[in-house]
Amino acid sequence: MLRFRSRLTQHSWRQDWPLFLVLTILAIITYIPFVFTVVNSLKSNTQFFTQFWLPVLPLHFENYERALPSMGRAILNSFSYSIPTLILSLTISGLTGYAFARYRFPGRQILFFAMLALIMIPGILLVIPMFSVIISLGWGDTIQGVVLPWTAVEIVFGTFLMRTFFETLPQEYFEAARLDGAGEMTLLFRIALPLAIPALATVGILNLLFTWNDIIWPLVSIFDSNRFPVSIGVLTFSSQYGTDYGVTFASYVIASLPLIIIFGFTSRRFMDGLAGGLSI
Amino acid sequence: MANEIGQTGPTRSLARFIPGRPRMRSGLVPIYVPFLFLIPALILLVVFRYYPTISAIYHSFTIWDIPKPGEFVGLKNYQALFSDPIFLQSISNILKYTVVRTLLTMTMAIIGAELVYNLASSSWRNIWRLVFTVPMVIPSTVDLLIWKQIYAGRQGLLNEILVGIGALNRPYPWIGRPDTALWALVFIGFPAVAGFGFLIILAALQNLPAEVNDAALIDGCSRLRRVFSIDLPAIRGPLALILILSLNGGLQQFAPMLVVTQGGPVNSTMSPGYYLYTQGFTYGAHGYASAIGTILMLMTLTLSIFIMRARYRRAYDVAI
Repeated sequence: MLRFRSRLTQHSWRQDWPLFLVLTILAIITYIPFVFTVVNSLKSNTQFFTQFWLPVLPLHFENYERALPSMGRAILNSFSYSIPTLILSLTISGLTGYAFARYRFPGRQILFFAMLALIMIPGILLVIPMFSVIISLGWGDTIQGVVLPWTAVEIVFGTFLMRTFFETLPQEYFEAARLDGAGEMTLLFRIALPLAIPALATVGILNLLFTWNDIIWPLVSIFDSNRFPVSIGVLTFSSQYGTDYGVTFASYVIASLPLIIIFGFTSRRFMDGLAGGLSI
Repeated sequence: MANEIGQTGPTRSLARFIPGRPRMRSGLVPIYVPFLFLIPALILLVVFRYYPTISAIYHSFTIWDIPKPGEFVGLKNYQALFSDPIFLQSISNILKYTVVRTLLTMTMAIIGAELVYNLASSSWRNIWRLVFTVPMVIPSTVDLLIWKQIYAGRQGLLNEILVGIGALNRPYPWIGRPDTALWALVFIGFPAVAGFGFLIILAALQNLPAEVNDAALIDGCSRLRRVFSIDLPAIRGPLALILILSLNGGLQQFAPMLVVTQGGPVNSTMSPGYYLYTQGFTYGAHGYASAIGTILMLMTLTLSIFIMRARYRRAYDVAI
């Protein structure tokens, strides 16, 4: 019997148990902090100081009640910045990627490389001049003051991914439609966009992760603490309630829920979207 | 073919603007159409990326207190920076942080991806991939705050474990001491398997042709040897991408310092990114902060170009 393994052979426990062992250990270390947070989010301070590891009765669900008003507001704020950014950057990345992939025009290469070069500019360098732009436009503390700069960050990578995707579409689809008399807008909306939904979903998820986690730009452009997104809201909440461990941990759990729920619906897309391979 | 690129004749110049590949026969598109598609992106990029880049470089030569205009002072900011002990320490901190952090995250991502890739059952591969993807959606501030608590001297998870197994006599304030604070930041998220690196490397491995592996195993190549001789060289495009992202991200690191240590104790975790932020937004020294940013940009640009050149120096390559 051949002793090699291919993707076709069935799962063989005898051969794979060392892999499972190491993976299990890695997974346990990865998840301990999160399990610890959830367990202790249901304890009062006294319970936390007497029993560090295990759940203790009674469970203090009122920790969640106390964390919910602030975190709920922060979550709504986050959505109010992230969703417009998502819509805008998907639209713009789609259009730009399509133009680069399907048209030949003067300056095409130069424009594309000028866009790609932006990936190498550190974002933190631009925070101060962008702050100056926002102030001179009178956009401090506004939704567009967060959304438009974020969109500008997102469309660079988005264009790159969308262009790569549109280049893989068979040319024949477009030729056939054009022979049938379809105009440029019809080609875009009736052929390219429906086919691009998986690619757009991947770009969208990456987008959402970035805007949900970004801390520096909202910190600079939002002055009113009632308008802070989750990334800052959870920080200010924990500095107020830092000595009340259960409530602080509950706020961490609440802050994590929206993305976990969204991920629950999109996990396949999220993981497969990168399977096309990112490379340079 | 009527509109072949490179042909001579009256339609040649028009042919360059035909959508798609040159063999297209019908449907000449007005030249402004692609530009219409590009306009929204160009406006945003000019206002929020290109102009700020130039503005930051220019203002690094000025004393600048927004919203007042900058006052040109030549190289004064740079001279001040290179005799500023906090800045110099921040550079040394961030170099240590970036190098060790990148080594840690890349090694662990490769180990994790190889372990999952080598599983025989594809459903188990998917399950383990999911296990190491879920932690990525925890908001990064939450992650940092949880790790701050893990390192805490009082009720800290790490101390509970180390004291519990007898490795320590009493709790040690990992982020409260200058000698351990920076390393505490480096090891945040340990074992650092879960992340984009893991997903990208695993995807790249799964795209490798299965025949190569089978052939290697028939020839008696061990799994470990295959990892180093076949897998890693074959996926060096994705590896180079992760390396660039990780090094660039590391050099501008800001959030862990802000959330966990505020650059302390005694500047032992001060990073150029966090120093830029405090100079700019705590002290209003926007020109000085821009000079810090410009130096950071020179570092990341040099590094990216260096990696790209190294990656494309050798002629042979496996197309992924």
